[in-house]
Amino acid sequence: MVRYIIRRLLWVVVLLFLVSFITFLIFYALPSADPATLRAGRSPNPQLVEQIRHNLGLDKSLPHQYFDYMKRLVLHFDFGYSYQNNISVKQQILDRLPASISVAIGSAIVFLITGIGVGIISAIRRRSLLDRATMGLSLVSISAPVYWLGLVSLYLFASDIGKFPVPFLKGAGSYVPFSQDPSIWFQSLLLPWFVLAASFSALYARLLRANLIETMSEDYIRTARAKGLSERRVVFRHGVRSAINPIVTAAGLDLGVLLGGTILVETVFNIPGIGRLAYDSIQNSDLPMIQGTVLIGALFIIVANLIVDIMYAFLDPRVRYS
Amino acid sequence: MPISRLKTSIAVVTALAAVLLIAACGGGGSGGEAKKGGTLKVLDTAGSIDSLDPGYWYYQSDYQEVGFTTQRWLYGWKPSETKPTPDIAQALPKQSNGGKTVTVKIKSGIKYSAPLQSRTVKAADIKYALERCFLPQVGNGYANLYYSDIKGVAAFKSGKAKEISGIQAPDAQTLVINTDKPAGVLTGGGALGMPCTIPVPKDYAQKYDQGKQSTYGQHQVFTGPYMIQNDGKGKITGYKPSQKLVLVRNPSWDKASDFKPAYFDRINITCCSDATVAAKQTLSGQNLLSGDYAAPPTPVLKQALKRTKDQLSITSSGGNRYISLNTTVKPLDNVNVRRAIAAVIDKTALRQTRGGPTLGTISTHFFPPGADGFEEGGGTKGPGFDFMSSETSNVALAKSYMKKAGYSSGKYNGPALLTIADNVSPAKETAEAFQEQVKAIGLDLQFREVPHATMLTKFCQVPKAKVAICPNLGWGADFFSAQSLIAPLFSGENIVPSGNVNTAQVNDPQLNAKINAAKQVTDPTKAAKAWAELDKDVTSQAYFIPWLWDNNVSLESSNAKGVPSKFNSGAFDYAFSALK
Amino acid sequence: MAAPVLEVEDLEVDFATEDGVVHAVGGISLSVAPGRMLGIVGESGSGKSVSMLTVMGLTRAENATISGSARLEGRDILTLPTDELRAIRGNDIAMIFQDPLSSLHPLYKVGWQLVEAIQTHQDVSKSAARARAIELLQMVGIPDPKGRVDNYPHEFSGGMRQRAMIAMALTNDPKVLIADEPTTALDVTVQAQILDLIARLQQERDMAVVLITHDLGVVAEHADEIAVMYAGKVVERGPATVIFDAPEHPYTWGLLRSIPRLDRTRGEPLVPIPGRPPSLIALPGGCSFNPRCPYVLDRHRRVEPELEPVNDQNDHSVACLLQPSTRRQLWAELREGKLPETARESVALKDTV
Repeated sequence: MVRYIIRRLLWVVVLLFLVSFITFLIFYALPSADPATLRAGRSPNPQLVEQIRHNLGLDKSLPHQYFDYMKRLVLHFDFGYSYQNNISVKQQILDRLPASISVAIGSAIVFLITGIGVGIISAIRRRSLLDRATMGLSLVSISAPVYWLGLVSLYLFASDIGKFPVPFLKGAGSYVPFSQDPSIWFQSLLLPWFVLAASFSALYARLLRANLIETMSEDYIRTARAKGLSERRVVFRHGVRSAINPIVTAAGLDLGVLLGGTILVETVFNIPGIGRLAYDSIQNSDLPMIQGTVLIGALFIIVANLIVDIMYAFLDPRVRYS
Repeated sequence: MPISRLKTSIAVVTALAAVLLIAACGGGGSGGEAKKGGTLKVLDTAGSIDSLDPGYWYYQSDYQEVGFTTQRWLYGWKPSETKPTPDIAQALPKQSNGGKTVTVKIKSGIKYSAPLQSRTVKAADIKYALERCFLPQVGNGYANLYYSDIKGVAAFKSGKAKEISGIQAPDAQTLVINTDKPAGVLTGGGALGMPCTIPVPKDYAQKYDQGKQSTYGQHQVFTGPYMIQNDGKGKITGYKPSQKLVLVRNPSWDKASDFKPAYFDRINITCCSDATVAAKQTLSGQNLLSGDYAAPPTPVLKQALKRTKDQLSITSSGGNRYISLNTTVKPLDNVNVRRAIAAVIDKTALRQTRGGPTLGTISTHFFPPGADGFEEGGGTKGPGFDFMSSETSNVALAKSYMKKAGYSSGKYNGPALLTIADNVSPAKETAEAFQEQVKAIGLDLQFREVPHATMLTKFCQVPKAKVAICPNLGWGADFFSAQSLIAPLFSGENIVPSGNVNTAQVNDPQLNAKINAAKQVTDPTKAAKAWAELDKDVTSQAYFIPWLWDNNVSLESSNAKGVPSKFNSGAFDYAFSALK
Repeated sequence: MAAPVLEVEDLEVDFATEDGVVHAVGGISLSVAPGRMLGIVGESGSGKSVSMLTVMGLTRAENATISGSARLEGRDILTLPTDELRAIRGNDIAMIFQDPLSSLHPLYKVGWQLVEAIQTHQDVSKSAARARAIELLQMVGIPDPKGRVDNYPHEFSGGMRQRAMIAMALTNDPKVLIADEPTTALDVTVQAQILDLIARLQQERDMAVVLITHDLGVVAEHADEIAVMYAGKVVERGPATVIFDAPEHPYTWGLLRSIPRLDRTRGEPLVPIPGRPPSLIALPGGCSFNPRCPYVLDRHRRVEPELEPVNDQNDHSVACLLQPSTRRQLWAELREGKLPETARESVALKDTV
């Protein structure tokens, strides 16, 4: 197991290296704006553009630029400086990380609780009115665009612009760091959590329902019933225990993706997270920032993968790594 | 000023809006009682300011959020006026030596914020401020346009001289600028009403101006009514890029010598709201004014026009939108083909793609209203060229021009023309409508949609890219200057390999000479005439087809009174705005 | 002989499906006494498993219609409310299944699953339950039960898994053990061990055992009585010795002839029963076995046979429309190793009506 983890960690490094390389290639292969001209203003003189190009190191050959970048990254863990505002990329990412983590983990909690709850009820009350209603609703929320859902939720319930304002549902732009005011932090994140969780909840509910229905026809469920267990215990300790494994795996991976930033939710609710930073940096052709946000996102996803794989060995004793 | 900020393209493209006819809320004094005090809240949508460095400030949000509020310029701009108002300067500049020497006397007793609170502004500080605008570390985007006639600039830029010899501070209160030839933008004071004249104390700032990029912005000292929250030791704490900007009162501000009322006690700017949400929050909330120059999305605007019209501020932005035709690409080298395109497009339909008449007036010539020379160039009615006189499509006229160009059927039959458009609404829809309209004269486009910044820096502004048509361009005047509308866009001397704004690649020696001559006219009336003549020339040649004089739409909370600044394209001037 | 502990009477089970009603069990009656083993033999789909699952209450579902009775010590368990049924299941009556790997929960340790079974019906501490679990594993012959108790099912061999299943079924000293094809998924060598284990425990505990199998060979050694099922019905029933020595039903003959036996001449062909069991949705008219019966007569397609005693002791019954004398003649021919066709000819079976 330890050897397995070490081997996987080495892969993490290789993958991140590849990700950075591909990001770099894409940036130059696709038509993105020219950072030097962008910085030079409306009617720049060519010398100024060239000088800015030189200052940003853009006049060197592409392999050279990439080598420089990787050297700084590997030797000094330095992600460079934003072309846009000349502030350290690492600093800006670290600055925005707590917001993205707050959004991701909170919504993961919400979608796990609601998704699992609804999934179990639908599975054991299969074909009931409740089952049909929740599964129908889940289709709607899977297909509802997050952006639209965010706007609607704000228009309906936000304490500032809502038609039916709920005092503890703070509107867009009310996010403050947890360390500053936990209560406002919580209230400002409630809507984003639910909006982001909506489609995940629905997806997880459907997934769990399908898994559980399948599991409930397994032989060992018959054994559990033959033992004289209560139906409740049969469902939860025997059925759900098996059916939940794929959910835990998927949730781990989804959380990894969410931690890397959630552009739409961060935009609608104006939460200063990584997603918005990544989006802006692409708009601004801010390569160091693009690299930084892509790498941090990739890191989350890769590490989430690793953790999920390791966790799986604990969830399912039949799985062994070597 | 560029009609859209180059750097943040998200909301900007959606930004410019509506009509001078409805300039309802112009000027300072109109409307409810201004109340002193209170906190202003601003929701930015497009990314807020890009840099803290005054030498860099050039865009609407720079002026709006930090330029007007935290610093004093040599000359400032009252919201409803189109002439500069002396700020640090005592009076308008005096010219001598045939317009080649400009002398400005500056006020005494204007102080800096901590840690330089005991220091007053001296003429030498402005000299250094102007000089550093040429430093690559600062990245200024206009110094070259307006200050390159100053003696010694070339030597300074090439590093041969440590100072610009043409800028002198013989004593603490006197600034003298010598130019190689007369420069109307300096003698009139216009170009001295730009952020490059925000005083920067050399001995304090020089250490930050070293290296690859200047960090003076993060350590700057303030002279305006507000300052960015800082630790009092020269370090800014109230700014997080693309997140927040906090302005508090500047205890060093010399109120007596300033023309700005500065009602608010504090200004909290947060970025980056969704445009729709921000508009809703502003309209239904309290203490809020529109932020960085983003017009509300069309549905919100329509609703607001119906229900809360008094919370809308619609003013002419002083900018125009045009379709650029590259004169080095066949058949656009033929003036009659260009005129045919001008005649065939349906400007009303194009305006409809942006939201209709609220968003602007249909252009009849290149100069937008408000610019010097606009009236002389024909005013709203225009100079009366037949291909510019119809607000809708005139296919018959277009075909007659095509015949003149040698296409006997009235239709083009050559290869497709490379056209690069913006990929964001509503500009995208505009370009697509254009593509449909020109089919009437047989124009086949090789049509590509790319992000705004890419469209500019990789295609339209790069001559090598050989883009034939750029349908989504716009431009506005700096300090109402006619020169700023003509020289950069139409002078052949300004064609550069990248960042080229002469997108039509006009290089007509006669035109170049005429532009150079107009630049040197220092008498304002004569200058206006000279530039209006050029306006007529470029309109007649149809290098660009102007189709919309833009409006700016800003929003305010019911208890707030925003005052739009003409200088700043109609964006609110927070130093004049107040709570009711 | 002691009074039966489990008595099934006229048990009928129908399932409504999209294709139609499946007549899984068509009215069977069986009984088993303490210390005795009843073997139920039949092909898959004959209703042998469903009938016993129904007795366990494991076929209760919306689409199932159950009638008849199943009395455990005189109490009808088919009509018990679920919580009372639960108290009996795994306690008074227990069941083990065909595939021990899929029947044990893959994600829980064997010991955990045993402890759960104990604690469901007995109010004992966790440590006491664990000690009992180890004891049970020992009892069913698992080596190193102390170590094995913390293993997962996948770490057991097939035989050990079935032993563990048996241990789990016996946790609460049931009066009746239903074993549904307990050896089908196991190696031949292990099969005998498991059957011996079941037989041993049955003796030791004076327990009634119902052994369901498709293979007469499996029940040959230990069963006291045998019921042969076909298409949801019991077609022949009697003491094991009688069934092997003097079977009366052509289907039973077929089953017997398909068992490889040591006493049979080498090279003599194994004769499986040709054809497939009928659809339980649309049963053939008359005797359900008629499409596959080598001795079928026209009449058999119209009249349905009843299970009738064939001797005076009343312990051997058969549901066959052939004349008893004809049946005995046929069996005598078959015993000599003749093929069914030859037998039929030599008996000169003809439609007499």
